[in-house]
Amino acid sequence: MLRFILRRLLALIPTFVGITLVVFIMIRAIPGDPILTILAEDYSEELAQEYRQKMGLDRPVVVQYLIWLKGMVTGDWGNSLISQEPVIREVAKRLPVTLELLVLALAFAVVFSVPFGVISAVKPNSMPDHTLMTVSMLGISLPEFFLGALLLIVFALKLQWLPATSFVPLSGGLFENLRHMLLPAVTLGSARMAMFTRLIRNSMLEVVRQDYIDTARAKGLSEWLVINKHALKNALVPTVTVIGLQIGYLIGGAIIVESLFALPGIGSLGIDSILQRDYPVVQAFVIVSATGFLLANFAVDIVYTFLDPRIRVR
Amino acid sequence: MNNALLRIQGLRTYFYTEEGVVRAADGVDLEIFPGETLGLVGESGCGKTVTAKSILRLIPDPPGRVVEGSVFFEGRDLLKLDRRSLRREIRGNRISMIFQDPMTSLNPVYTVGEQVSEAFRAHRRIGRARALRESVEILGRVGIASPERMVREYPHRYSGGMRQRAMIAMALACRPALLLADEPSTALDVTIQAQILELMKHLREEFQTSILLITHNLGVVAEMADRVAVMYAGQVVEKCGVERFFDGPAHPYATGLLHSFPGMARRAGRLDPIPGSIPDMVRPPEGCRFHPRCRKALPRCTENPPPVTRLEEGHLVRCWLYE
Amino acid sequence: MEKRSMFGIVFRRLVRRKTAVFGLLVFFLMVLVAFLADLIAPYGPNEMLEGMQYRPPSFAHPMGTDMLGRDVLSRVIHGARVSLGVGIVSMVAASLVGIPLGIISGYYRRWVDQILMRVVDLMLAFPVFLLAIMIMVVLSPSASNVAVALTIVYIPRYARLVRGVVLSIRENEYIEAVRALGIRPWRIFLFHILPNCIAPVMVLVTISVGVAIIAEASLSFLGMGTQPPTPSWGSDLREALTTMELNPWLGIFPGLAILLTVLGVNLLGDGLRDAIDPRLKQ
Ligand SMILES: Nc1ncnc2c1ncn2[C@@H]1O[C@H](COP(=O)(O)OP(=O)(O)OP(=O)(O)O)[C@@H](O)[C@H]1O
Ligand SMILES: [Mg+2]
Repeated sequence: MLRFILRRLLALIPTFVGITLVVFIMIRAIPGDPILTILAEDYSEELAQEYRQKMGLDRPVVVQYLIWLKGMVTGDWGNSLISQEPVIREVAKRLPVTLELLVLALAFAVVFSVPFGVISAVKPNSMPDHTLMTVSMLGISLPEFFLGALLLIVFALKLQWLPATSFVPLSGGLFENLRHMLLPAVTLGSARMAMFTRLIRNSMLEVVRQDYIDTARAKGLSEWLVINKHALKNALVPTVTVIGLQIGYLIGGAIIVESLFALPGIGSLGIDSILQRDYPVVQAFVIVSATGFLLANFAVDIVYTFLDPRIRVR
Repeated sequence: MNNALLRIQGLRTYFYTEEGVVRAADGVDLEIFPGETLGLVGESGCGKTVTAKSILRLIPDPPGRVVEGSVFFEGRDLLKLDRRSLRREIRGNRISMIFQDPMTSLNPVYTVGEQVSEAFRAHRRIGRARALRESVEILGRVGIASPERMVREYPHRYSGGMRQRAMIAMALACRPALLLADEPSTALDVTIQAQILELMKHLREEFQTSILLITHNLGVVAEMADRVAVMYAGQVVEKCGVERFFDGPAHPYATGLLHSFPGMARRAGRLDPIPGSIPDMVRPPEGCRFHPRCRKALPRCTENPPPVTRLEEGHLVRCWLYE
Repeated sequence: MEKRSMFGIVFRRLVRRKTAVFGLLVFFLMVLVAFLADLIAPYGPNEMLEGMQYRPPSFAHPMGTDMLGRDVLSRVIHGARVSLGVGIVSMVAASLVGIPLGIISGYYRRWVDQILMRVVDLMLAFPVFLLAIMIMVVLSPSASNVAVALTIVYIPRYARLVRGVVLSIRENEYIEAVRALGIRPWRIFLFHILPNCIAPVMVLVTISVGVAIIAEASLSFLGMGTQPPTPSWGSDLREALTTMELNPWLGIFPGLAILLTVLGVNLLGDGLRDAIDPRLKQ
């Protein structure tokens, strides 16, 4: 199993290199001379020449890329043009916030969607099913920033039950931290919860038609076991793959939610740096997000093999 | 005649589909006596599986429903029994079922041991370890080599024949009085088929189980069955002892079946398939359902459904020819 | 003849479902609003009414007015142009580029396929929204550039889908037979492969239009898409946010417009998928 995981991990390297290449090209493709931005008022032809040499911009592009890639891999991500701080330090500070947000949102989505999907599928076309399907359709169609804005106004500003756009890190106490994370996590998780609910329902409907479900019933198992043991595990197998794809949407949504709730995570860092044209930070933001997506899909792959013995290796 | 183990009377199971009401079982009468094997034969789609599933109330609802009839078993009507007793006392305990396709009838995500254990644990208060030990035992009895190892394997490591053996083990775990075997060997290749039938015969002796044996294969009937029931378009059209059947049944459809079966036709000298195909179960023909395909059809066959006639003790036929 | 009856069957299955009909109606209504915005909107989208700042909804202004005294209803109506325009144009453009790429890739296989699919895989390694943001970093923020970005983001998705369809058709012997008859490749594409791609592509287009509309609104909400004063639901909501506690209508109506439009598109897409592939339906 460990060797299998390791092998899969190694197989990610080409994709990772591809990602860095795309980011490198993206940064080069931004119109305008980066030296101009860095030097701003101090600009002079000599100084610019000196900077170009210092940053290796006079070398061939391939060499530039390799130097840059080496920096990315060894953690030399440059300094922020705005704060002059090392980018990697800022990213390290903010990464836990984003990870917590993602984990909470995904947990929220999964914890509710599984029972909802099952309830829907057990009695298709019943009242509960229709209600859940209607609500989930609304959930899928609701953009994060609108839902977030509504929740913010109702629960934070009007009712004042929960804090608005402030943040308390985990070190400030679990309860306080969760209180501040609740609205963002619910905002981010809702659309995915709606989507998973529908997926699990459809998957369950497919599974309960299978012969082995009849076998389980014919054995005399309780309906509870038939549904929650025999049907659900099979229904989750295809769902897990889709959850992997949905993590992409979750990462995209986190960018929006962090900006909306002013959470100090990677997403809001990315948006701020883009609006301020702070390119060293922008490239770090993109690489970290894309790599996170890559690793998340990898994790899903592993879970998938764990769920489905047919593709498990020994 | 009231000593039947199982007695199905007037069973009607309908499916409510977009195309209309499928009358999959439309007045089925059957009985199975203690210790006997009843062969249920008929073309594909005539309602054999639906009849067997109706006994254990395994019909998916929606779209299906048992709308009428009774299934008496050991003095109780299974169709009226509360769900809890049905589950605890009947399913997997007094009556077990094995299905047509062993490739799909085991759950792919649990080990075979787990699945066989469940059959024990559903009906007896025993722990996990004990159930697993008994699973090893019974898997050995049905001919799984090195069962200690195989209990821990997932179904995809089993061949078709082994899976069907595992299904049989699961079904016999609680020594049921009745086994509903829905084409237990059809999906397997010939040599494996013979092995499975041999195993069933052997276990039938050992466990004293009655069997409802559903099959297309008249060879299997000849091999295994004591009596035969022939189904056509949701109804039983003839019931008789197995010798009577192979000597020449009364119903033209049963005769047709016999003549279209390669093994039997050799004796008769030619293969003689029944013309046409099974009717639309949403709108079955008026009168006798078989009349559009029947060589001996009389005028009244097109008008009124034929009554059931008793030709001799234990030989019933649903046909106007014998009225 | 064959094809018309296929569309006929799909259409009849589609209108049998109430939710799909609702989606179809909403979608057409929104398209109509977008086309006729100049005629329906009571005011110009950027017309500032003297002394009419922050008016709550009233008979004269059913959705109120904003901080500059602009009529919110008129802005929402004009916002449909950007929203639907970007959503539909980008998905149609992406499919127009993606379909031939997918066909070429699936048909010729070998190095063409290798190279194309490498690029496709690489692009799919980025989350949709992140890739859109990356492209917007390079382009300057505007509605038309958002359309360009979403087109680029979705091209690999269509190419991948169509390639899959082509590969499964290739398995069919009849393409081999047609080829053996010496029929030219472009005729094979046009008359034998393309028709089979229409259904799955249509489903993907409908489903992605909803995603694209949300993406446009989200980019604009973050300040990276449509820029004020161009009316767009996303950027209007962004501007409304600071005073939304006091003037909730400023954000709620653009938000509801997005919700309704995306809901319509999603219901339509769902119905379409069921109608084309009834296997998935219960
Ligand atoms: N879930 C269902 N929904 C609708 N119709 C069904 C369903 N299950 C069975 N039927 C219909 O009931 C009829 C009888 O089916 P059944 O499976 O009992 O046939 P069978 O005699 O077992 O055939 P085979 O030999 O092929 O197994 C068929 O016409 C079938 O279409
Ligand atoms: Mg059957």
